Amino acid sequence: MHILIVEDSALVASGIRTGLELHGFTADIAANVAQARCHVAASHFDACILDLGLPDGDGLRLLGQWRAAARHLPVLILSARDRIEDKVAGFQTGTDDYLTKPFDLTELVLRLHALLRRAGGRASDRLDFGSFAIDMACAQVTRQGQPVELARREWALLSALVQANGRVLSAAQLHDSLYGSDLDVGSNTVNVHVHHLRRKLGQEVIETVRGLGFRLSARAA
Amino acid sequence: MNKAASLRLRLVLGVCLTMCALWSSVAAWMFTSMRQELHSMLDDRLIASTRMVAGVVQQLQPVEHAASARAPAADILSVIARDGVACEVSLVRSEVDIRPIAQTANSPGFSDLNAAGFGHIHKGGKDWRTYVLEENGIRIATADRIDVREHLVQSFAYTLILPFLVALAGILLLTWWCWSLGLKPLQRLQQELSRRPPRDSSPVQAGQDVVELAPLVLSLNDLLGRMNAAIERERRWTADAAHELRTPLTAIKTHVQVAQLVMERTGTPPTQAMSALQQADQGISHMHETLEHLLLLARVETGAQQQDCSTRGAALVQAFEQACAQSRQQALLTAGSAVPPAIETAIADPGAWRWEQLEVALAPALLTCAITNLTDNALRHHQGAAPVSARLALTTTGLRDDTGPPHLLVRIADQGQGMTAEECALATQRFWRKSSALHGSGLGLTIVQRIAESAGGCLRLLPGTAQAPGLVAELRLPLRLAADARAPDALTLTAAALLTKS
Repeated sequence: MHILIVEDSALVASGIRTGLELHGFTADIAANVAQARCHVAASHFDACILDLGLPDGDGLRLLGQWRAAARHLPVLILSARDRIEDKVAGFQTGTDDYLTKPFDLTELVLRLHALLRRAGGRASDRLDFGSFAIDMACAQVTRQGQPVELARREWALLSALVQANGRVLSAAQLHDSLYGSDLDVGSNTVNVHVHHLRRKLGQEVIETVRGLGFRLSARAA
Repeated sequence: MNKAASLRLRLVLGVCLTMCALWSSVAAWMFTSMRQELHSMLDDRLIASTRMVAGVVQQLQPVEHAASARAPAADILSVIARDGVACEVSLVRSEVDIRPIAQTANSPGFSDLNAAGFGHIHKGGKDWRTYVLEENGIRIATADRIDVREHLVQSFAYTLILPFLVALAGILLLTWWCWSLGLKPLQRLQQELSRRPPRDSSPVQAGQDVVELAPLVLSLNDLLGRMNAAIERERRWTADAAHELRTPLTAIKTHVQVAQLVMERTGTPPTQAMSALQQADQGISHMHETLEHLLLLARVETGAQQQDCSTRGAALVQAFEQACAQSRQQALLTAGSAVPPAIETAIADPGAWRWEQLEVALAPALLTCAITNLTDNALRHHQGAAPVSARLALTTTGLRDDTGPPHLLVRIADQGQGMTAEECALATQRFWRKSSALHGSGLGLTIVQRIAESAGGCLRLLPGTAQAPGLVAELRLPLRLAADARAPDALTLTAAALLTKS
């Protein structure tokens, strides 16, 4: 899943990015409000980790603008501001979660999973698809009780399709979920990973919608 | 503190002393002049009486028939005697042969008098002022009693002093009343200042319409403004420091955790590297705890967390229970596989009071924070299987007014090594730790003390005894009557106190 990290401290941002990637996420970093706007306009994100004190503006104001523009991107505020007034202001502006610095990486990942679960309309992180099951929190797939080894990109592709909850995702959106804003990756790589997933989980798992993209098969779901 | 001087008393005493000094000087001056004038006037009367008698004697009887002149002279003398003047008429035959021919009944006898003019004699146990006139062989001597003269002078003096005393008393009363009226604006200013909430930043209004007070009130408002600006700067500094210190700490912590994660995923992580990372993580946690304590202390000391908040009724009990539960939870997390000591909580019956009637001038979070620090401390140092004792009660011990709201007493007792009286005195100092090997920032008890002080309360640490070697921490916070609550009457309070004693 593709996460946008809006954080002005490069040290903190890179730490979070690495930590998220180790947990199967794809992450892009925006160091200020302007970059965050560009990223959101250009790419598809499943969630955003938002710092409040940014060099060219307040994160809370950016969030307010997104909510005013009916952008439903799930947002987790990650800030050093720990006063109850700051948290109230954050939730009133439209954040989905609030975590104060310094934080525990495991807690951040768990909160992100909870955020994505709610946004995806799922009751649980464990999804049963008949012949196979997915544990979104543990990034594990089992087929008939046996674990299925998935490469990091394959997991990213599968989790993005699960998160879409039956909606069609274009190849560009899936590319964002797999590689973030890395433009040096070939355009056919999404098809390659779809092929690998179908081979491991079954042909019927991912449905191709001609001219539009891919979605998790209704039969599988 | 020295006893405050009363401006009103000072002024009235000043007026009284000034008036007394001035009026006394004037009265003394007047009295002296009046005395002299009176004596002079009485002397003139003596001369006039003498001359009148001499004139009458000369007109009525020639000297040759002086012997038969007794009767008419006696008549005129009786007239003089009515005015209190003693008189004696004598025939002077030679310097030694002076024969009285008539005298008033009150005459003391003037045979001793020689020279003409004024003189003094002492006759019949009394002093006399005399005047002697000799004309044509007849000597006329008149005299006034000195004590009668002095009595007259005293009568005049009383007439002078009495109105002065009455006027002085009247002036004092009027001055007291006028000064009371004049001090009303000062009293209003004092009342407004005493009613102000501790963190009210609005300017003082009272006294601005009084010419003499306006500069004082303006200076006071200026001072308040500067103090509020300083407090606001402190608050901003705390917020900025929080951000600036937490961000690098977050970066270090995140990268250490990422490194741990990467190592764990390699399958067989190097033990020394993992141990180093774990210790780095512990160091970060300690630094984080110290930082949070420092920030909390800064906020408590600048009053940033105390914005007219209060904790009332059931929330008081809830804060106590929550603090104990939090500490136990934290102890369970940090103890790992070991079982941390339990906390035995006890909430005493509030007696005649109900919890809903009472509130403490502290935000619930701060009250919980203060109690949590004490229970954390107790759990950290507790030894043995018995639980840590935590008790919440109301107390009136040491209070002057038994009918007023009691104090809230939180008593936490552990069975650890305890502290000596000297260590107890040092324990609330910043960064003091009994041993550097012990875990903790050294700020916990300082924070509790500052929180207690911000609500007008105190923290008391009791050294261990031979029977109970552990530390007993008593957090005492004054309670106040909640805005819409009524205090129980004195009878109920007495009955409850008796029940408690029995």
